[in-house]
Amino acid sequence: MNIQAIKMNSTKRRRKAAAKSTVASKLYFVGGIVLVLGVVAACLNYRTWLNKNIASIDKETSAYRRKIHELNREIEDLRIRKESLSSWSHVSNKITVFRLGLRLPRPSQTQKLVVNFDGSPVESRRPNVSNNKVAMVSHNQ
Amino acid sequence: MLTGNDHLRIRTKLVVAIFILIFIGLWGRLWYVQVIRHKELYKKAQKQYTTTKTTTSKRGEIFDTNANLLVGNVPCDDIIADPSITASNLHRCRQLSKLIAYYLKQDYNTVYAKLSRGSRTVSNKEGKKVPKKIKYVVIARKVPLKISSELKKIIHPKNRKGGFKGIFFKEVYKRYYPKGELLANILGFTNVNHGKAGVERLLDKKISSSKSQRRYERSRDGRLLAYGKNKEKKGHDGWDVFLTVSEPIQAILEEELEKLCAKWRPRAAYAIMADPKTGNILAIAQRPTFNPNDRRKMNPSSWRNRTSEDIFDPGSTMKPIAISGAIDAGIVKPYTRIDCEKGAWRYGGRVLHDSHPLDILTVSEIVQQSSNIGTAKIALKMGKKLLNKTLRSFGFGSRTGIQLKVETRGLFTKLEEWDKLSITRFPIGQGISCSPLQLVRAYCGLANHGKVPKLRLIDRIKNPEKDHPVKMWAPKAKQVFKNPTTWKTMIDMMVLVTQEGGTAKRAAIPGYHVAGKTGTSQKFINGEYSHSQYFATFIGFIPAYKPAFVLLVTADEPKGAIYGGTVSAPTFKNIAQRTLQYLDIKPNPKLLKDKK
Repeated sequence: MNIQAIKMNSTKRRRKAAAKSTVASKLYFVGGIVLVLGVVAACLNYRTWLNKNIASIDKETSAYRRKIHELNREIEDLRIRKESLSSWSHVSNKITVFRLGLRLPRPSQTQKLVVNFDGSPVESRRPNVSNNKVAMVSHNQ
Repeated sequence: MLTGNDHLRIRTKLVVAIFILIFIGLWGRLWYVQVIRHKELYKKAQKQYTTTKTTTSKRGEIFDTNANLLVGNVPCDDIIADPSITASNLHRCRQLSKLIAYYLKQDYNTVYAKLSRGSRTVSNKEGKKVPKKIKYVVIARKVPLKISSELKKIIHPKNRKGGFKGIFFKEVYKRYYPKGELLANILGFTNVNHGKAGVERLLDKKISSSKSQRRYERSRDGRLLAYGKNKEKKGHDGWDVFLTVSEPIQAILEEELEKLCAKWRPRAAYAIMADPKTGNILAIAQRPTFNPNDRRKMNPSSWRNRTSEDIFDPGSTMKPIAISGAIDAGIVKPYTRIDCEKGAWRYGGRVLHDSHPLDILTVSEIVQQSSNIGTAKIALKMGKKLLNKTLRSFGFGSRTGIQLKVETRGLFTKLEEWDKLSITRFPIGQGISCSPLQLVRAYCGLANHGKVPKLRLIDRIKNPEKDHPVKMWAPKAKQVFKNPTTWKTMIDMMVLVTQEGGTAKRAAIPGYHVAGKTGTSQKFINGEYSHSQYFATFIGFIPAYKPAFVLLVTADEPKGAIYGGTVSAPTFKNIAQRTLQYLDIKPNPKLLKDKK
């Protein structure tokens, strides 16, 4: 009877120990998977968050870019209009319309200015550089 | 007998089996969608979130030598409608039509007809007539930026008052010539973004731009996804062109030529100014001309570039060139006396006349008073070969090298084909024809100590993506005279032309030596020289001994007068005087004193 009881106790203990180790390993396994999935989920979330941020910044940037583009087009339009208004045919028409009575200066009244818009020193009196403009002014003697 | 545990076990197995089946089903479906139909569905999806955007680049601009804009691009918009959207609500469609018609100054009914027709009937493959949505209608092309941006603000769907859907603005550029008629014949014009005449045509490949195309994954509102796939085929703007022409001088030239036309009403007129040292064209104009911004009034006869395509007999303007050969070879001296036969001289069976009877003249006086007989006799002394060599070395019979697409060589018979009269007619500018540009080049040679330069019109071209322009190559000027004093002797003689006793006193400018020559040549019509139609020419350079420019003024069939000294010389004087002031070339005080 006792022998039987001892036998049963040891089997139960062995079973309990085995069960314990199985549960622990299962928990360990599940924990690992959860951890991996967690990391993956975190990465995905982070990526989504980044994408969201990129998208919102991109939206702002493209609005600014669009604005800059429109301003550039306006500048270009104004530049052409300026060139058109500064043409001699237009200026001489206005001189006639407003009866400005302008006449050509005498050679002794004229002076040539060379303006270097790029800030470089004046090199010649008749520049051939695209940034430079030659102007004629008259002054009273 | 099954116990409770057995039931539980069976139920569990059943649920697991069902789950497995569902899982297998899902996997199967996934396999079907992701693997078997992958290509088809991927394409379908891609089509929805991928878009292609084409951006128009700018055609290159054309500037004068000091970077004043001559040809540019005006930004504007094409207004496009999607009638499948606009026609869905006819009340809104009417409002939209009114708005567009008002802003674009178009007829309301026309606009409404375009916007309200949402579909059209087409035949399908079986021949059945079916309705098809209209998704693209152009309402207006190249609308100015100011108008289109006002319209855009009102139409925009996010407008406070509601806005309208189905209207799109496509950004485009319109070729624009801000200086209007100025230099029009040289600049040319474009048609559907391709050069059709002038520099626009000549450098079309360089000036042309290419469109850029971007294929990208877009968000719901159409924006580019920064993290999506993005493929770009980069386009480029066209190259900018810088001419040798100076805009202020060109304006002077055009204005004075206009005055000449108003006074003498010629059939055509030209004026060309060139720098004799470099061969750079400083200004070049012709009448009739055209305004490239106004296509309706343009006609082919006015857009032709007469200065390089047309030929004319240079007349007496040829005399100094022929005589320079005789002077250089030492055949005659300025003081050599020649009998001018009192105005009529028979040679080769034909009588050659002077415009007025002249007796015995020195070579200088022959140039000053423009004697045909005297010049012909000098040419006879020179002989055929030397005369031919002289005229050819000044560029007659060959192209000037100017960068214009159509350029004539002129008419100059080969030496072997000269007849008996040729030697007496060619040196007085008869029987030989040249373009106005050829004559300018020859005079550049006289002005530049006998060095004949190649003419240049295009100075440099610039790639917009690079900082430095590419200078157009110019060959070295060719020396014609062997004797180093010939040029001065010739200039001394030509200065007399604009002084007392000369044929072009009206070209004289106080304070400056003006060297030049008049030319009044009969037009060659139907095989004979006309006695009523003439070319009146004056060509010269100033200051004579250190010339800033060579200037030619020609009137084709002027009314009221025929002489170059009467018609063209005053215009020469006005242009030269204003240009000298602009270039800040001060008069010689000694010459001013002498005048007083």
